[in-house]
Amino acid sequence: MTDQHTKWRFTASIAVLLLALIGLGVRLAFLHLGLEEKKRDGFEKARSLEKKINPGRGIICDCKGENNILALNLFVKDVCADPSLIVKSNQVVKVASVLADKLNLPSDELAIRLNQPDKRFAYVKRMVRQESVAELEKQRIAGIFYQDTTARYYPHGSFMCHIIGFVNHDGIGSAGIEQQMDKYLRGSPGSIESRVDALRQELYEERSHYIPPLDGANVVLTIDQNLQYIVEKALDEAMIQHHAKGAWVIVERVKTGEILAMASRPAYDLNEFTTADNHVKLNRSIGLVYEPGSTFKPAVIAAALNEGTVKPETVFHCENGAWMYKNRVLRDYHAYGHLTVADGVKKSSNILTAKVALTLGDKKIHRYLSAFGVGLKSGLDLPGEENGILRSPSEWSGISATRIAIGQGVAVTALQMVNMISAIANDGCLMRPYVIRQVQRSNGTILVDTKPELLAHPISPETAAVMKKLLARVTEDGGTGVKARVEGYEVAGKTGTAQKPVNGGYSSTAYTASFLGFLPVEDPEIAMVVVVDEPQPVHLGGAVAAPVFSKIANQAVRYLDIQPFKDNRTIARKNVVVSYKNAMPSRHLVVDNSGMVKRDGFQE
Amino acid sequence: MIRKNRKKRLHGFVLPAPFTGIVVAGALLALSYVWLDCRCESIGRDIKKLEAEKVQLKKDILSEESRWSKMKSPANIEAVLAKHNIVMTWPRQDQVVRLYDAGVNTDVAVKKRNSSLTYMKRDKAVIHD
Repeated sequence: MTDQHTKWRFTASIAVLLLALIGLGVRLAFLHLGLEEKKRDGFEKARSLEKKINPGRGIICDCKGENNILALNLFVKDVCADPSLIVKSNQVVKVASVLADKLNLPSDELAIRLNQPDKRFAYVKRMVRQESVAELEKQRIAGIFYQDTTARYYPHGSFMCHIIGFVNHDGIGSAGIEQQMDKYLRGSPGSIESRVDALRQELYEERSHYIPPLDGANVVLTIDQNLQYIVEKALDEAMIQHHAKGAWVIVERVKTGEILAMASRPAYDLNEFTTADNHVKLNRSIGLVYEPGSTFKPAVIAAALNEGTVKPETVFHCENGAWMYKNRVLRDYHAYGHLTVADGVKKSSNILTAKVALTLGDKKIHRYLSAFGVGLKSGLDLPGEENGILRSPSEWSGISATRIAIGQGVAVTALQMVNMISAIANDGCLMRPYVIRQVQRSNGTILVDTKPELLAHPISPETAAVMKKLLARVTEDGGTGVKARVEGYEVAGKTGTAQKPVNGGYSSTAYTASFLGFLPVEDPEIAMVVVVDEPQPVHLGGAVAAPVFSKIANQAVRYLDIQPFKDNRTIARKNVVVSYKNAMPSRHLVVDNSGMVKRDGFQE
Repeated sequence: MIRKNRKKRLHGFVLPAPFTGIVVAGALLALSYVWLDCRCESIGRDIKKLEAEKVQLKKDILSEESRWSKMKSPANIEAVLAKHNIVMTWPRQDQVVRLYDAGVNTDVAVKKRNSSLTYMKRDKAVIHD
């Protein structure tokens, strides 16, 4: 090879190299000098990362705090498919059968959904737990991919469903606490601006903007899950035993207004809320108004005692069971002659209560009932509370007072009733009921701290003390609420059996049986209302609702460690007379060997 | 014929010291920049990894918390106990013993207990003797 030849080859190589470099340079100039803006933007877009970071939703827990979680956000996966790819690979039946097996779906239906050659995207199943997907992911099925997402999860299913509520598919609280505290639970989203590499992995050093998300705060309820379980179990048993249409219970701490348990039947699974009907989702304890019947009598009797129009020993004639007043007959369940007010409460005489109401007059009755919270929202921190119905006295007929006094022509929520009885038990102080104890961030910052709040003082402490004694007689021998007794404790309460209003009259077959009470009488700790809707065949409050009260209260006093007797009392356990410091005159309690409290009755 | 001193001619290509210094400093600067850039990149990767780990741990915690919460729910505990034929009931009122300060002088009680122990020891000692 000649020297000339070598020189030529060298020059040619250099020329080719230069040409290539010039070409690349020109291309680079086109790309970077805005000559192909569209493409440049495309590259920029592909390399840049701008996204919102969703915060975690706060948890909801019972009164024990984070030990007992009732609702939380879980990281789950949406199983998605590319139907066209699956159809092309001719694997529709095989893929459908594998997915159906792992995800518990009907295979045929899934095969139809996957057999769509024109479709590039379809959900196979949404919100599947990571454990369930892990095995599928290992199989690497062509045309199946997974998207990370979060889902609200309720570990206990239908437990406490009406209190907790649910979050809809857009992540917005739509019932119960989830709705009420949505602004706290939701948190605030963060954002990130950065660049990614060819594998779409973020390049940390290119991160230009980052605001971390602020997770939602945690909500601590006043509800105790163990007590709630006791209540729900008793309700379920009552529903079966009495073939009832519905049933609901509220347990409230008398001195503070804290709701310790609130349950309603029928119930639904919070994780499957879309399948539940609206009537099932209704929290009957606060969202359903009913005529309370005889459980309403304590409010009217308390009003009359407070006004001094009657005394416990005042005697009324009970017209031997049928009283004609303003051309309308009012009947008693059992016929009575003369009864004292104290006995009238014990035996639940309609006629006596109506006559007591007449001693007050319409305006005073209305004023007292309003003071007890009837016809008004109590201010409970749960959505869906009803007002109830208490018409103004100007709209009352001549007999309205006699009917309202016995719980007819007035509609209340169970919450209003339990509040009313709590006020009597709490020396006449009506407290605002609440279910949210605290809202706190995970770092411990407390955003909301609910304190007991006095709403009204409808009756004096003296009247309340007398009412407590009168209501305690309802559970004595001869009273209507004997079945509400709790061994070793004095229980005060009132039974109610209300005919349900239908077509302007009252049904002769559909009843609402209820029991409203508190215990222990001397130093009340808890108040409770039990309502059973249309029990069959037995429909009396004393036979249907009172045993449910007893069953719940029996366990509640032990669980809450409520002491049966006060320390400052002299107690002798062997059939001796027990004297109370603040007892009413001429009244004694006898405690027998079994620990049961017996009374020797009022001496009028 | 005099031969050219090639070694001597090479001396003519030696770069001036300040220039060399600048070049070396520049090179060092460039190298340290590259090293720092690599270090930043590596720390960035580590941070990303830790971030991912944190997210995963958060997922795991929530998952475990949900399982634990479910496990210790009253309904589940009751069901598990029932499987072992254990039925828990609340004690009757007469079975409840409440603790209270009985007004016992603890010093006296301790002395009494100690003295009884001493007697027991003595008795034993006697037996052993």
